Amino acid sequence: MPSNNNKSNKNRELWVFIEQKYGAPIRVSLELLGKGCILADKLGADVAAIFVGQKITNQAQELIYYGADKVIIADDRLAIDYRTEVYTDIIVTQALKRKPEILLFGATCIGRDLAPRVAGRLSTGCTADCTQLDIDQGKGLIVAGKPFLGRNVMADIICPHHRPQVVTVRPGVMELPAQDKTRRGELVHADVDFKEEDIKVKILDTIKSETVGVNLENAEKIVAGGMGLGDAAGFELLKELADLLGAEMGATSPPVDAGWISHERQIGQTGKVIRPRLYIACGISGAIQHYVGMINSELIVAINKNPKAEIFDFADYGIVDDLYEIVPEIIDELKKLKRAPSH
Amino acid sequence: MDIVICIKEVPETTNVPWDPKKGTLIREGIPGILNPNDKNAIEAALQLTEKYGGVVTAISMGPTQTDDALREALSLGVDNAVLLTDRHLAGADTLATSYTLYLAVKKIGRFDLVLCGKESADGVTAQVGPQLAEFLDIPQLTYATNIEIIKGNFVRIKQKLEDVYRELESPLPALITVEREINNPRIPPMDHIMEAYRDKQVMVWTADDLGGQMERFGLKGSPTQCLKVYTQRIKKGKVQILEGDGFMVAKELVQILRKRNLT
Amino acid sequence: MEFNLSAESKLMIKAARDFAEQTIEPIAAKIDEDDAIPDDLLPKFAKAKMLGMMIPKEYGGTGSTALNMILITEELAKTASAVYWSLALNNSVAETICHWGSDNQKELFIPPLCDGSNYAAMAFTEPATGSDPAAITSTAHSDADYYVLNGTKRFITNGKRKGYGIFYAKDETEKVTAFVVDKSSDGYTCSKPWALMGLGGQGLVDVFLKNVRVPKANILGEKGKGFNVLLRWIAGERVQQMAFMLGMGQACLEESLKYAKERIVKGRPMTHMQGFQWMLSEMHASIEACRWWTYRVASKQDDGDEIQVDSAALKIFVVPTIQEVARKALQIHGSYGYCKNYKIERLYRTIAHAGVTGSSTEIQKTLVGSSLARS
Repeated sequence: MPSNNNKSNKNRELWVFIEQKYGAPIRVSLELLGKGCILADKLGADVAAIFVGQKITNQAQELIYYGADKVIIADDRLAIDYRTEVYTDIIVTQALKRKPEILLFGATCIGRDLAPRVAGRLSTGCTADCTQLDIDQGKGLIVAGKPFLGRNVMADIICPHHRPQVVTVRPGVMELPAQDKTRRGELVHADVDFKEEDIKVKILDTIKSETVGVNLENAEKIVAGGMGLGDAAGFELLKELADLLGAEMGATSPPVDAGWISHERQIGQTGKVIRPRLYIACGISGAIQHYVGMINSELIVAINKNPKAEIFDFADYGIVDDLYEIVPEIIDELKKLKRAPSH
Repeated sequence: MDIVICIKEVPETTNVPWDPKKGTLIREGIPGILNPNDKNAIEAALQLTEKYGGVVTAISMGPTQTDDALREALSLGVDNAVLLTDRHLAGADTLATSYTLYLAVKKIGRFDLVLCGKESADGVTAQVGPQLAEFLDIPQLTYATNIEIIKGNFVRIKQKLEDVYRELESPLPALITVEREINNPRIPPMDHIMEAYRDKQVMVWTADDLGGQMERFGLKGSPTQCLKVYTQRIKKGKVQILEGDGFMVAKELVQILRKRNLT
Repeated sequence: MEFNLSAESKLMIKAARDFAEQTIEPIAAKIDEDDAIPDDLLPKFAKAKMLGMMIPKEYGGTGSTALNMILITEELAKTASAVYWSLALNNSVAETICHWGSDNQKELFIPPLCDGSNYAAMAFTEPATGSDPAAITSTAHSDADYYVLNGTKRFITNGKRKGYGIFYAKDETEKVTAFVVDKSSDGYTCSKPWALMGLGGQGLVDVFLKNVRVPKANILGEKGKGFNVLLRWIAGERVQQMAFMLGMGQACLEESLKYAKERIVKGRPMTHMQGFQWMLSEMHASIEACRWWTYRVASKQDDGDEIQVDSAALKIFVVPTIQEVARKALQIHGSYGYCKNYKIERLYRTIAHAGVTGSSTEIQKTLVGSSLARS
């Protein structure tokens, strides 16, 4: 993290919208602060976090530690829960004043509701759900890469003539930065000029989902299965392995399509992007649609009986064997380990 | 309860040719299907008008073959269908598309609701709904899994976010984008299919019919551009294959994991 | 020569495919195993306006064509289910009544076959004969305004289910007459359904007619000329049956491709092996030939052409061709193909029926051969 002991105050700004849940910034917003710094450096700009909510001012310093040079805070009772009208108005008002070059949002449900509306009001371009970001320094443009039409191709999108360049970014793709407690920054208070009577949409109720959300994006270890499992029962075997390792379960898209496991566990282009410390792929061929979802795993172990499977091209360790033969052996070894006294 | 639905015809396969000079897809001649998420919007609209009365109009921007998607909408039961087709409209990003749809909705006149699928199967941006709502200056209620009309001209939806549901209420007119789980789209009966092709009309509007500013249509009116399209390179590293009996391999793997504190 | 299907036909195919996938496929294996079709299925067909495809709207039909009926039959056929009969019989019997019937008869008998309330039947076959009209022994005696029917019919689909059937009996002139019979008539009883190799749920029964009184107004077509009614129906029925085979053949290919793409042999999917590529290509070529010829004969039907010989020649080709497709599909699946939880198992059993039902392929060869000899 480049230090900024001398307060820069450059004119150009790269904004990161900080989405909050129960008053705290969510992980993707911090990921974007990290990436935002790298991009801003190339651009020669400051990173400004724009943070909207209620009772959030005390978190501003933390955002500076994560990489923000400035934090624009709109702290108001009316902003406690996300509403399109309120958040759009706040962001657009500030954007018209400060004229940022770039505006990054996490491609969450809220982000994908808010970003296009903001871009629409500012008559500028918005690129959805990107997995790569870079700066074209010659032109001072952000280049947003995204998977294209479900094939193994990427498309690079630019917004050459309109400002700000608005981009929503897929959660879990960018690296979570480390905090640098030596960083200093500037706090800017944004006025919230609304009256409740003027806001059209009311939130009547908020209900937690009955199904406990599967949190693959934050998982440290994942055991995943593909078509090589042969049927839904294969996931029972993998669950035994996952439980012993304290890992989450994942899958490629064909088993999900076949109904063997729920969509929440799908990893890949149309599923989740993950970055665990350990990823064990069982009966997975390694096709590109899945690759883009798990390639950022620290350690990849692949088990597949086909020695020519693509997954062996990018795994760290490979086992060429029938998973129904080797996984029970691995389970036995792990059980042995747990029984033995530690040395 | 007059409703406007925005629908899109999307390619049936993912192998759509690409024009590198223009940076756009070559959609003509590729068999298309009605965007699956839009069928949910049509079904939602029909259920509402069956309950409350009113007229449903489907609009779609695309090449002339988009007529088929609109005929399908007619066969399902929508009352009117409008095709927005013109070479000036082609190559549009979501902003230019939303602008075009906005002019069409204005031309249609009065409406209580605009319904859209959350996203299209090809672009998957989920941006046109919100941007159209912005142009129309009406509230947007996204990710709806349930829609209820409330007396006194209000609408309530159940909104699906990552791990919560919210109940939102808005005055009409409003724009709603629907999730696929909101309903099971009906299948058109054979006689309705025949009527859609033989007895009903699809109105065709060009850029001139819409009015508006020509420079805001199509490729010209798109702030975003595609710079290039390329194949993703797979990172080629050196995999270490663990060899030997199952029992030995398992032991070796567990040792590796143990050393890295992953057991 | 227009070879392209119209946009309207393509949308009908899409709708039929969705209907088959959502309404029938999920229960197809169970229907076969339980030997029972749920009662709510026929009304669902009716709601989708699939039952009277060739019937004018004034009688409750859809006013479409034989070709469109064949196209939707092909889609439904992919489920390899006896549900096919619900679609095929109501359509063909209603069409037969429409062709031969008086206005009164059309108004009375056709709407119930289109609205999902009645199951159609066509009853010619008897224990002693399937294809020889001279050998039928069912009789019809005149009695005032009625004919009294006596006899036994064999292998009658929907013989027991509520509705109308066209029954053939020899009148006092010893000539075959066709009668529209209400299956709830006094004296009309049925056996238990025959247990079959496939097509569970077909409801194939013997019908026992004991002094069944049928109004004289129910004679279909000319008295004594019943065989013409039967022959014309059989020609159309052959085309339907071939659409059934065609759809199942397509399903065999799709299942085989799915299997062969996933199954790894010596480190690569089966589709990489030339032997299997050759088998798959032969299957594909076979199905294409069957498809376009079937569409052609259905088209001729719509043109009002005589299709006796065409439909017989079609059957001579399609039956062994699709049965060979099924055989290859089973081979490709290996041992798994013999297991009940793979769809090819049901497909194979169901495809086996076509050579011997609705008149055997041998009869077709006699028909075509003698026609050629006469030419």
